[in-house]
Amino acid sequence: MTIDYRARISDLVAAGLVPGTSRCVFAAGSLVRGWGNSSSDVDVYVVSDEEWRSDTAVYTSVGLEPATVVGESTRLDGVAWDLHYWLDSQVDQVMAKVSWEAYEAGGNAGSRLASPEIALLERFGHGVDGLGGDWLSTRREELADSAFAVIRVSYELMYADSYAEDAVGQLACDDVHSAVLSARTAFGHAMDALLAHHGEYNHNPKWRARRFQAANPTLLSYEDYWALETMRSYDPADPASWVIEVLRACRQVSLEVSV
Amino acid sequence: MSAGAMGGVVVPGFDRVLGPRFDMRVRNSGGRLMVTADGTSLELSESAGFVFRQVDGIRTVREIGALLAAEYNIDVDEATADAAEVLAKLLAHTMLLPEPM
Repeated sequence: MTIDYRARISDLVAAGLVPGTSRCVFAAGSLVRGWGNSSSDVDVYVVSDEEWRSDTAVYTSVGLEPATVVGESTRLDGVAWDLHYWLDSQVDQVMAKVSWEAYEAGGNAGSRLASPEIALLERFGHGVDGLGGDWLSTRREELADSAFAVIRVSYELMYADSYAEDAVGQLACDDVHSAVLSARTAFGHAMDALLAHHGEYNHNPKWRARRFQAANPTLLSYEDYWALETMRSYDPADPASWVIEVLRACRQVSLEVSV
Repeated sequence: MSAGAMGGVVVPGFDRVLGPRFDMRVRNSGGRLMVTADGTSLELSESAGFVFRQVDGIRTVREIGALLAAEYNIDVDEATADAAEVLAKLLAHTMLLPEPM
């Protein structure tokens, strides 16, 4: 499916769905990355200095002030478009959360990022600007200089460690099926840490294979990753061997990915 | 030297296979490893980190020494003794398992 994103954003402006004072409007998401399918929608980020209000708006909580971002949905040419209205001041606050000062202050800066905030920053990277101007390119530069990557890696490694520890404890008391589930979860976090290290910050599991292919890390081949992700070597008669194989892969990520 | 005591730390025999711990925290900061287990943290030197990385539950101490010798272009016997000393200290701090899982 080929979409002229800039033309469609002009349609959104004409339909009155974009405030006149908007600093930036950009399209992002799976369709923009070329990963979409017939049921995919386009995510459009509208950044302005005024809060969006309408009778059809839906609100999503974020850890910012104001504490919600606003969403609208519409359809253009048979495709669903989800609009996310952010205040520029909210974006400033998200950038402050991923500053080096925030990272060095400790306290696990990654846990202070809500999912919509991670998605916003992740989408700076592949967003298609619909209005022109330098807002998006400036934000990209700010993000590149920030601690976002190391914050995301640290956060995912923390959870990988936690589930690996659970798996070891469960193996020790012969609770092997629980250990398998813990190891699977640890693996997901370890892979998300590896991919964040390579600039793929999204943490939605459904796109992990796509992200892995995009990142193409040298630490682990796609074939080896996919074999573990799909539990290809899992033997129901010997689950513990699979758990240990997975924990080895997790450890390798911790050893080699710099934070 | 094949095994023995060194400053109160028991040095593993060269044919011994040690195991990695999977329930500990390992962080790489610009190539230097910080390892934490049971409430104790150690920052490993570059060469100690190299030795730590080689512990996979399959390689013997002697094989890890050979890898260390190749990495730093030093004598194999000397490297094996150095590797054994590092491994002994890591074992003493419970950063490794006495045998693989």
